[in-house]
Amino acid sequence: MTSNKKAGFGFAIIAIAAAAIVPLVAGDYYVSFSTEIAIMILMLSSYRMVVLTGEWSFAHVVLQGVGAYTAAIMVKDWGAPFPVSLVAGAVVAAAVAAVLSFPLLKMRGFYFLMGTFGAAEAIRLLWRKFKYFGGTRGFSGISAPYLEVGPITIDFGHPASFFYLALAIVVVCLLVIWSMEQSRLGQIWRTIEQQDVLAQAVGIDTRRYRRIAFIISAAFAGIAGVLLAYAFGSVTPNRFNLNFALYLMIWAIVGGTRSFYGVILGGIILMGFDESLRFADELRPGIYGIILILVMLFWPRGIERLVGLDKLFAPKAALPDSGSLAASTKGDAR
Amino acid sequence: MQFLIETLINSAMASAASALVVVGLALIFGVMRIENFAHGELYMVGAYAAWYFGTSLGGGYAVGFVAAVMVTAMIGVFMEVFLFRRLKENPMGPLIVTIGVLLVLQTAAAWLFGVNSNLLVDSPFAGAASIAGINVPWHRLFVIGAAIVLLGGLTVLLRTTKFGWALRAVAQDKDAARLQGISIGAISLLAMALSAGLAGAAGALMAPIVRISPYMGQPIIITAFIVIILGGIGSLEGAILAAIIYSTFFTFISAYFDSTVASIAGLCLMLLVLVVKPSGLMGKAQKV
Amino acid sequence: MTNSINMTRRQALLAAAAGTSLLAMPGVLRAETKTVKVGALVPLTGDLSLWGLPAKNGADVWASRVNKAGGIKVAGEQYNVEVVSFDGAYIAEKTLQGARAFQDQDVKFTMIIGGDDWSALQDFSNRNKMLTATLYVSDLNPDSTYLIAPVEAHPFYFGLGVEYLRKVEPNIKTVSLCAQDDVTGRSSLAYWRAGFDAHGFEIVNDQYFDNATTDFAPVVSAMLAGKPEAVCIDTTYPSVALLLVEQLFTQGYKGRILHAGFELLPDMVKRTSKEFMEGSIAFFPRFDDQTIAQAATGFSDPSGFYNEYNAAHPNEWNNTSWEFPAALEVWKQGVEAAGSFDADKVLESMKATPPKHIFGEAKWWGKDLFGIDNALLGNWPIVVVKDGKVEIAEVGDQAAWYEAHKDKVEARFREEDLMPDQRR
Repeated sequence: MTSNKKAGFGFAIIAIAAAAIVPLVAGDYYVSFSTEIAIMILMLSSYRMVVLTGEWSFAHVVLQGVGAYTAAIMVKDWGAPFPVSLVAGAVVAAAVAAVLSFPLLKMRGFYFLMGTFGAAEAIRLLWRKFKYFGGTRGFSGISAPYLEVGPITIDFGHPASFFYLALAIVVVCLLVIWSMEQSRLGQIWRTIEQQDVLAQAVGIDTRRYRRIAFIISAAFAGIAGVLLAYAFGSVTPNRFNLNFALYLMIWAIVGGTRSFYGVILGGIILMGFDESLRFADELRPGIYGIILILVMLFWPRGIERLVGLDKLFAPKAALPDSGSLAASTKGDAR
Repeated sequence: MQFLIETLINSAMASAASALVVVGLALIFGVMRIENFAHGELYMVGAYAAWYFGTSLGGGYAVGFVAAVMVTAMIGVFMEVFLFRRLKENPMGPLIVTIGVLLVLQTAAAWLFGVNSNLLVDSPFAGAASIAGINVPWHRLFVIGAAIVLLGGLTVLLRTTKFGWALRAVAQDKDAARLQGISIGAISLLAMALSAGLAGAAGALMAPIVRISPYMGQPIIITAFIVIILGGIGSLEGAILAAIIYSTFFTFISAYFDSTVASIAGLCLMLLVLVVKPSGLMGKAQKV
Repeated sequence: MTNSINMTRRQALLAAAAGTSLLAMPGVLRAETKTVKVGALVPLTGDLSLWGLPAKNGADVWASRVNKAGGIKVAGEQYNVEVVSFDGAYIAEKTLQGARAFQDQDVKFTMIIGGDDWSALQDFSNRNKMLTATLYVSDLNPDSTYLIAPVEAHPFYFGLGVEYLRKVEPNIKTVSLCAQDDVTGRSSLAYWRAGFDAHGFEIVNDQYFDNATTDFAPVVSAMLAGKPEAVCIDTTYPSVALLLVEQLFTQGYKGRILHAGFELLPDMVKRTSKEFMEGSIAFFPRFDDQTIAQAATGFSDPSGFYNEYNAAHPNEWNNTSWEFPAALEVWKQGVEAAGSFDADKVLESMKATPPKHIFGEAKWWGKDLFGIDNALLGNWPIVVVKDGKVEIAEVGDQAAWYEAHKDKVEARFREEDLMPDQRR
């Protein structure tokens, strides 16, 4: 196990190093695309925390939006510096998730999925409706951070500089998420996913731990939202619509949610595919659809199994696939 | 007063259209626990098939309607046999696959018929009836009538036939149904054909009064899922009742306020139902 | 099942797939000699591909016609025009990605639909001097230095429409309006209101509806509750306009309808009747209209263009099909006069001598309402439905109308918080 862990860290370091080379070899377009991938990886990894407790949520993308809107309002109204809006984005997203968790966590399975959709879409419509949130056009002109310490000045408005900033933040977040998953907290989440009744029987307040997962994952989504707001310099309500929530779910499932790296791999490969299909213009969604169907038919447990590294980041005990929506619909609400 | 009557008539039309789409989705969700995100696209295919066989090939509306039901039912059978059946072990697999089917059907429609096309399906019932001073096209009344007939027929089918009994048994408890000697595979196949065929019928019925476009199924699916939650998972009667309640609620709020408010209010209504009575209007509370 | 397959082969398959996707990525193409790239940054997928695809196709047809005639001449050299496109999906963030791709490909002139997809582009466009054309004049603001509205100054032709309505219907008084609830809808409804104020109409009902609305019966009921004698359905999406028109017919409305484009007029006539649509007012002429060549003086051979477009893309023509080409005509004049593709030089030259607009002479305008003179405001036609088809009724001067009714426009814009000093 320890050797596997070592190999895992080895791979992680190689991956980070490979990512760090991107700006040296690629144009602005691919650098910005890599920033988007990095943000998406943070989204997927934090999403997986909720999935670990056996639930699928449609609210994650809108919680990312809460972070993005918080950053936009902080910058536009108060001229807040980047670190302040970063923390604010995480805190506000977590707070919104905490409030939502009271009605939502009474539900499970498909009810939870639709409950999160309803709550998220209502929030998104409020953004569109109220001028305070910039209405349908949202916010633009969110200026990138600018660092000036003595002789060193870095303008993060350049795609490459911002990419390194985002990469650093994402890597730190992933480390935190990973260590949480390895901790007792992570063990409890898995127990809840597998054996809710059993967990309750041994005295675990399952709803409390599901709430913790929901709130912590929202905080990371908020950070991803802040990064997104700065990366694009704008925040628009359409960026957080149901399609993006669906794609987040697709990437997670296709990648495989059993291991830490599965979702990451799914995100990178599917985003890469989507991008590489641009030549197909209007036929692109159809080709993408066929790819999804084929992947599910031939590797139903996700890409993580395909690569054959699935034991690498696996927890101490081998566990079955997480996230069984249909199975938990039987459980329903209580 | 006239405004109230108008709004009531509008509600009736919206309810009929919504119930037709939702009932098929509720059926397949109840029996197979599959969230068929491509259901709206089956509705879209139904409208295109009604145009192609009825108008383009000159078969007339009735031929177009039958063709729409057959084409969509065949797509349903295909989805069950080649996709869902092979994904039994992966609970989230079918959901992803339905999204794949959604993308393929949308792209195919856009590619075959163009995004800018003006396809028109003529209703066999031209003209309009005058009710309380407003014109109601005969086709709209026909849709309301057809919805009542189709949904009534479906209820009879599920309540009185052996197939209906087996289907409800599977919906309630798969394992128990299997012990009763019911073939889950056969029931799933028929349910999927029925569900898809209903979506196709809805598409063909609505074709003369909506604009046919590759993306016409998109806004429908979200409303449909909200309605299913309101009605209670696994309950067809609940879904129909919820379709009527939700459509009436939505129509009145958009008529008296505006439709953004109506959308937000509709979502809040769904959340309220989920919190207060999580099993929906007519769904049975299930134990762990 | 997973164990039965050879692991290394699967790894090889994955590597192959990854490799293919890398190869297929739209690489940075080396600029070929004497080719200049222009970009269509539009929705190519989804519902709004209805605007994006015909726009992109129109630009393609325009480029092939220009290239056949010898290309464009800049600083003594002939250039062929190549159109590149990117699917921005009408989402601001994706559109920005497209702008970056265009920058890498050295695109000299970018065209967008405008509206929801501009906001994320602005900083990037200023930073990289990306000359861009929009179809929505309401995208302009004091900082949109490199954004021009060279063709359509939506919603500025609406004033002319109301003036025309007053001329042909001297006795009617009441009108109802509706629009989708977004910036486009709000700014154009504000302009309509100013128009109705200016010509002595009373607005009996105003409706905004959500973009996701599918059933328009309640919207129309509310509009008709005040018994309007004219109904304005603004710039609603083509499919929405069709449903609104059908509902108006259904609910017994009798009178003229005003809409920006009537893109789906044949459907509207079939769903209602020729008599019902007769006299309705819009702002986009047919290109097979007998008089198009007299109206569109700034567009070379409009009917020839129309025929070639229809041959290449049958049944795909709509209003955006000629708007991108019309923008390209303006840009062509600009670069040829400036003798350079450099955005600053082109802008400077265009500002000094305004290029010819599709409907004739025009001037740069926009400071009053948008804080920047980047809209090429010229004449614009008013079209009227006759026997199921639109015909050009007259061509009016948008700037003159605005000058005459400025105060009313400002009051209505202020009401919707749209003035430059009210922007957040």
